[in-house]
Amino acid sequence: MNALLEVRSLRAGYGAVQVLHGFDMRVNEGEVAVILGANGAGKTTTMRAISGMIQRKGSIVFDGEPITRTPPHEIVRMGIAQVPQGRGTFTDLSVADNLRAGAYVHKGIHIESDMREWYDVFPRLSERREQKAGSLSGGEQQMLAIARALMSKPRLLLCDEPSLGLAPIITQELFAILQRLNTENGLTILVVEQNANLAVKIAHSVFVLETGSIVASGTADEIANDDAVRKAYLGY
Amino acid sequence: MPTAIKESSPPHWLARILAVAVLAALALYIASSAKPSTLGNITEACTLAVAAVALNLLLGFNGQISIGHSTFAGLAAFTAGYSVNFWRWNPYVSLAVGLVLCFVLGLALGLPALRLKGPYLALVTLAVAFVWPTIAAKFLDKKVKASTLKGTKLQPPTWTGLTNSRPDRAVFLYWLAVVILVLAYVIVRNLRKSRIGRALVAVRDNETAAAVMGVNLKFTKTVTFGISAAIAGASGWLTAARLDRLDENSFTILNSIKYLLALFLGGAATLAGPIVGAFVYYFVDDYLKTHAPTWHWLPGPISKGPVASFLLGTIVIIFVFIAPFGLVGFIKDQVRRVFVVTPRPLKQAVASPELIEHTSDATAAESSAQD
Repeated sequence: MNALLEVRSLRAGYGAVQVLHGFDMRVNEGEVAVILGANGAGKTTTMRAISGMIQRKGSIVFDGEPITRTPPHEIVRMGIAQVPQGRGTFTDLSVADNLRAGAYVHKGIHIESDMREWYDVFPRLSERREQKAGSLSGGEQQMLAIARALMSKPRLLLCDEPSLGLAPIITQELFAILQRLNTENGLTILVVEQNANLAVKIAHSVFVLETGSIVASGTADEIANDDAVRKAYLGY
Repeated sequence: MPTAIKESSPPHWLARILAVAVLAALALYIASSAKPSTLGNITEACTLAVAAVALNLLLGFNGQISIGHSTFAGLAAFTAGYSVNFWRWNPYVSLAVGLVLCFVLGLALGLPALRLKGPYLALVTLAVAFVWPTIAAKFLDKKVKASTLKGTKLQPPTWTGLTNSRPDRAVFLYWLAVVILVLAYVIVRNLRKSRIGRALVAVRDNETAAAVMGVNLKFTKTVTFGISAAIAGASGWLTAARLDRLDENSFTILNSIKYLLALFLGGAATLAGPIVGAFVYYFVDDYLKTHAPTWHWLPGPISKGPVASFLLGTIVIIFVFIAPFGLVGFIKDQVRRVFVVTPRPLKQAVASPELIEHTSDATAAESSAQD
């Protein structure tokens, strides 16, 4: 399998506080990978380190190119899009303008046809395309955040806790869409989650993060059968 | 039920064209019939409006506060006054140079703005506005203080048919102010509606999300600061064109507060807001200053002392409660009860299912090629 993202001894943090203590991770092309971890384990920090939002040490290689020192706006252009935690929709822009903003790195004329493509995947966004994003429900905003990230035509989609604050039924719908994006569009996805049950179901590989280190990793089946992990994260 | 108007349908276009025509007719009518003193007032209101438009770009759309915009206006005004009087520059060249200087100073001020937000940025820009009159006083001798673009230096061009008499000058300055205001408006409007404008608002609403979409935060924020500073400089140049003399107290922090007030009265982050706000602020202020001191029906303690400022302050407080999103926000809400503009229907996406298939095929082909 071809590694799309390869992380080696990744260390990162905020100022004097180190959060990630040097771990390795590999996401293969066409896979859904999931990082499980409790609050404060370093999940969001990992995401921010990959997308270049914070200082990081070690090595991050995306599609054969080192990006450890690349600034975030160039990382997007290389094909990594992030759905930030808590959605981060632009509340004062319309749904359509949120999507156009998502295509910021593309100046081309394909933007409008790309938008129609994602309106088909997220029909509710189409109905509300001229409404301000701030007027959408939490679930719709999460859909919008994902559609907006997709507008940059990424090869790797980073999703930071997409289930945060959403009703279980909406979360299920969301994961079904993520799975569809993976199987139908061949998108590689790295999801960070606390909702382990749902995430492991759509995952090919799983990493368990505890206080800044990966303590277990393997295929989804291996992790689901690991007693310690199952007790801690899957709750049975 | 409000009447629905389709976006970009003939009635929508008609309404737009009508609005522009009414405004243009109004501008022409004022120019031909108003007294020179009234024209002077309108010119002054336009000058304030240009500064408010500048601040709107920075604060309204990009979310960066500046209480230092009076400094940029001052820099451009003194640049013009000095270069025209002592180096015999063409007044329009002095405008261009002033704008460039303001842009550079704006970039420089935008640098601390990368690390500071909200009250902290307000404090830094406030400090700049405080320091400016002192700097200005240091570098200006008496001759410079008296030197503006007034008099023979900025004359109506001959093709306008205007002479350099007082009434004709008033008409000329009025048109100059109107043209600069329209230009400032068009620049900000086109920026806002473009890809760059969406990035500006994106940075304001959520910096992290904007950055992970590929927006270069440093570049966007500093350049916005620079452009906004340059537009504020145009306002300062207009002041230099209108006034008899400038001194270090011509551009103090009070001017910055005026820009802010005009912006919030009209409605920040709306395109027309700063202009509407500037005109309302200017003429209400003007009206109160001339009439309020003679209102003897006001209760005792109020009628003594600065009545006009007291009343203006009260009006602003009441207004903010009634229309927290400014006059333009208030008017928009009222209009929405009668008319709504519905979005254009999406072009039927017949090709889109194929598009999705096509994309997935392409990606699959790509990945298998790499395997």
